[in-house]
Amino acid sequence: MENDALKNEFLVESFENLSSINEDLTRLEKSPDDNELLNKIYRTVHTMKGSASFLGYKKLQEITHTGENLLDELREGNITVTSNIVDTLLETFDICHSFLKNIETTNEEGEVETQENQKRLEAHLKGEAPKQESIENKSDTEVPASVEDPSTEIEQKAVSQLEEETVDSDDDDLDLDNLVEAHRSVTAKDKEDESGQVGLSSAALDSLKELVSDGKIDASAFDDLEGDLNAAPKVAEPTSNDSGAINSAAMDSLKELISDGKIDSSALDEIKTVDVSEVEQSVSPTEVEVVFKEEELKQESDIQENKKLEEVTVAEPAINPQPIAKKQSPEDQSQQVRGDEMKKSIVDSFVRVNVNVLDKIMNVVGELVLNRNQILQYASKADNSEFNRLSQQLNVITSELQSEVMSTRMQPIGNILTKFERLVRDIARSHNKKINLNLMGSETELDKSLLEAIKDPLVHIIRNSCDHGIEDLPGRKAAGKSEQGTVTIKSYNESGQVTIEIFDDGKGLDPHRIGQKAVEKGIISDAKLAEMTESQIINLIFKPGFSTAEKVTNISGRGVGMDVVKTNIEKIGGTVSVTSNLGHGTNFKLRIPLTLAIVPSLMIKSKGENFAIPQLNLVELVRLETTQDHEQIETVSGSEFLRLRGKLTPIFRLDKELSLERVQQKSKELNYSNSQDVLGEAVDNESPNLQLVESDYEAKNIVILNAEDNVFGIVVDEIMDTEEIVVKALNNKLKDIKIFGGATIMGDGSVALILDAIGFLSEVSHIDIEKAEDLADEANAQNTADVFTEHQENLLFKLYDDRVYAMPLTLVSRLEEFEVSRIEKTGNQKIIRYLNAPMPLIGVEKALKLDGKSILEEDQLPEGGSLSCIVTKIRGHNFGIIVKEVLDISIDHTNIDDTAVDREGIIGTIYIDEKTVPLLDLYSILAAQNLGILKREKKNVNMEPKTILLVDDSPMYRKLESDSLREIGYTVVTANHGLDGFEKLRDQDFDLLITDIEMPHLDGFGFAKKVRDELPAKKIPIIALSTRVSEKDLEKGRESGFNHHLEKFKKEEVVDLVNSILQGSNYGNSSTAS
Amino acid sequence: MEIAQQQANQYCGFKIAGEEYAIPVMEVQEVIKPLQVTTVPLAQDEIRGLINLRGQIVTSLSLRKLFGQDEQLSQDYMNIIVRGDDGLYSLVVDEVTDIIDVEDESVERVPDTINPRIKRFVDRIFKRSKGLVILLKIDELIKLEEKRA
Repeated sequence: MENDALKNEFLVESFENLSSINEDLTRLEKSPDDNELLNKIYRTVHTMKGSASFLGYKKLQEITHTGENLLDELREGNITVTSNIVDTLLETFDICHSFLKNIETTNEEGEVETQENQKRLEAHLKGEAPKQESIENKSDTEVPASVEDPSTEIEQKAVSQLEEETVDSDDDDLDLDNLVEAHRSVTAKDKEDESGQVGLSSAALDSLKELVSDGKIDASAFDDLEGDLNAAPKVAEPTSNDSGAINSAAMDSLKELISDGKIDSSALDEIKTVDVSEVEQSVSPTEVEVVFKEEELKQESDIQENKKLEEVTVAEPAINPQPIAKKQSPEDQSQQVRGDEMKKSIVDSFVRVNVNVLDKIMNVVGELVLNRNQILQYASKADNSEFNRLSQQLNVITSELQSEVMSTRMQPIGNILTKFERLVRDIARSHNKKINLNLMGSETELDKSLLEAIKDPLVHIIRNSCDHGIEDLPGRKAAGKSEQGTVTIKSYNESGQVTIEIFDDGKGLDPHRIGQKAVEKGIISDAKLAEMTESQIINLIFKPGFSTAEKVTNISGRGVGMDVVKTNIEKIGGTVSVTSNLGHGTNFKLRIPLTLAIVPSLMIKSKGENFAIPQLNLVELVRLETTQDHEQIETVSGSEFLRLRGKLTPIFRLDKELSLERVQQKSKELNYSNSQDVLGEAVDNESPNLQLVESDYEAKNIVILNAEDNVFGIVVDEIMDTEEIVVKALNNKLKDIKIFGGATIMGDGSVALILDAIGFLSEVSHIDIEKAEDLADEANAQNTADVFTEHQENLLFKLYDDRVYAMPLTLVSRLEEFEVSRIEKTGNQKIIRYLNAPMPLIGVEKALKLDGKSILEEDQLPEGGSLSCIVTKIRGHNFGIIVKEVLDISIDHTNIDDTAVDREGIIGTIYIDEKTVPLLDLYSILAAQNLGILKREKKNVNMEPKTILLVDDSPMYRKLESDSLREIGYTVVTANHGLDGFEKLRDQDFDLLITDIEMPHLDGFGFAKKVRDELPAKKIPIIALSTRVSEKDLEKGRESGFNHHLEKFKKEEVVDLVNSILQGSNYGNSSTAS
Repeated sequence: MEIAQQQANQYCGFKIAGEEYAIPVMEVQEVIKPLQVTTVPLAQDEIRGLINLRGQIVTSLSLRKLFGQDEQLSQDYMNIIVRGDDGLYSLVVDEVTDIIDVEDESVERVPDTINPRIKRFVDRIFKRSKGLVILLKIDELIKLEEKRA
């Protein structure tokens, strides 16, 4: 299979060569003295011979060799070019064509009659003019010569085929090839031959029958017979031409000769005039079919009946290439189908183009794109509608051109994947394993250069999977798996990238062993290992200096580790990750950009300089505005960190790291002189930035980037738009500045540098990034030790008493503005159509007994305008809470203080911006609203009494959760942390345990583990809730003994899940994360 | 053939800090007026930055800096665009003088006493009545220099 590409190359080249040879030969016939032409033909034939022998196509090599010899003689002038010689040569290349066709469809040369032609070639070489009547006389097809003619030939052809079958019946493939080949030429010429209704000559049929029933024909006679039978039509033809009727006597004599096996083929040569292809030319498909059907009947009593039938069924549908595939054995089928597809694609619809040309076109199109961008920008400024229209048109055309040109470089991934079949097979054999390679989505396309770049990494990963992943036979047996291991390569497009997954069903990666190894090799410290999750540990295999192979084999583990794979993939802007299930397999995931040339990027500005950041690396944008925001920046040992959702992320100031002050100065100097005429505007535009004074309290924009799983931030002055940029390589003088991945030209014609996240991090972090991470980890640990609650996000808003209130963000589904005119009324309740259902609108002022009146009350409702509304979803119903103004979202780490609760509807207070803000208790507020739907709901709740233990350190969540569970009729007991929960669980029986993960004293993982280990009899289902559920958490949770693991704010899911566990399956789908 | 031969002896002359230099005319793509330069942070001193030449990114090299002179911010410097193996370079010179026909018989080897700073760039010296012209090797000019600390 690995030769496929080579073979295709050869076919494309040879088909092209053949057609040029044909053309040249005809020209040569007209001007026999044209030595240049002759030389050209000779060279082409020589090339073809060389390729054929290189690929091991012996027959093809042989015939081209003889042809070449003859051409050489012609070249030398030993023989002069005559029409006869040209005929013979043309014939020779027709035969070559047949061989090539065979190779194309079946991968093998198959059988094509060459002897005759060979002999003639040799005869020419010896200077003899073979006694042949000129072909023109024979194959004069315009003269609807004799209707019998073709039929005779068909019969003879069929006889010959059947002879082969009888004599050589072991070689099915060969027969099949011949039949298919016969059919091909038949169908190809079908249209030329309208005499499809020719009847069969009974004499010929008889002879055929006799022949076949005559089982005595021995194999040694086969070669001769074949030749003779092919020769037969030439005997018959002239006769029938004369008499207009078939000469059955000739047939009989022929038959005798054949069955005697005495025929002397050299004698027959004398009368052979029509070559094989011409025989085929006059054969019509119907006839072939008829003959075979007849034959089929005849064969019914034969001993070889079954065999025959099989072959005949194969032969019969050969009339139509499509059905043939269906009846063939699967192996043949795939080959056949592929062959048929290829036949069209290779010969007809491909033009070979040098990749360099494509690259050039790509470059020019890239420039066109830039030019278009500039024109668009200019057009948007110019007040000229016609110009605008034209530029838009240019825009569309350019985009189309761009995508088409890109597509020329796209190649199916299968091109490189198929060669892995051999690789896998070899490894399997040398390791006494059985491995099946399963390719999925091989048609997924990727830029050619990228395809080249991922080849080696893929080889490495696949080797690893086969070598280390798949167990040997005893190993698999012991693990209770089937003998045959499977390695699957699955490729697909996903969010503008190509994802390639390589997974095996082998033994998986052992995190324990990997961890040990990593510590042994000094890649990480023991202490650090202890903190790592399993998936983090598994990903250690990508660290430099890590090789899992316990013993070095010749396949993998030769010092080239997975780190090289990672580096190579990242070099082309891709990512690689691994997940594994110990005992069940490993899954490598490669994400590759579709193309390198054009990259969507974020444009940013710092100190007046423009930079582009590829979106691939972009995680998020953070803007710090207030003083308090700026307090999120902390300094640890001189390095700055941003507290991003509770986690410390290293940040770098772009201006400082790139010494942009100096750059700015230099830019100013360099561009000063010509600013008047060339730049003018650009420089003016930048000038405001020059006045920027660095101040800690000025708004800051931070671009959070991800480079090789290191998340860090870059502080920039200004964040602009995203743009599709064309990446231009930097030259060598600048390449060693790793911060820049290239340059691009912006809409205004100026050049912007592209920041490379990985390069930036490695170059800029003067402190080792690992160290920075350690610092961050340390700081994070400290942080969590202090507070020990996860952050809580609250929505801050103003009610109509002009005070600030808060509600947990988890309860907010949307923020909306409704026009007053849309508000309707049912009874006293205000409602609004929201998402195709009526939604009650609620003013909370009354429930809270506040001074301000809700705007919803009759006299307060303004005539027009709109109202701010917080949409919250409780028990499947939306409620709109009307507030005066939505302010902000606060993130804080402080606990809710419930000591100062003075009224219904308030859970407690939180401390935000040095102010105490009451936190609303939505459940009690809604309960006080006397809403019909809620009441109905409550009545419907009709369940078995069950008791739930809810463990959470946050009073707010404890309250929220237990309220919502009590609402639907469960008894809830709460505990503050793992140890508390454990004691309660030990002393009392519960039906379900719901636990938070991040808790003081004993966290959720430890708690669950403790429960499972120490109270195994309890078999209590455990649901874990956490604010964020990552893959590694899920994994850790499963190990700890969680049955389910959900995100905290997905309230509906939690309730559904609780119901489904406690009430059986009739409660909604539990969408568990387990 | 003759024309090519003729051109092979033609040099593009330019001035830097009063001295006259020249590079083979065959290697010059074009000579252009100043364009906006985008400075490359952290780059070597002699790299002025990048310019956009009709959609191509060109690295601008200050020959003054390369020759150890002060950058002169003259208003009308010139860019001589040459093609290197890895893309286009712009050699920034004070002024472009003329096309010089270099006769082989008037060409001399590089004297040992030449300014060591520029020695490695110098190919030969061309003597003519109006004074000396230093013929430069383009490859050396745009070659990546071992990084200086």
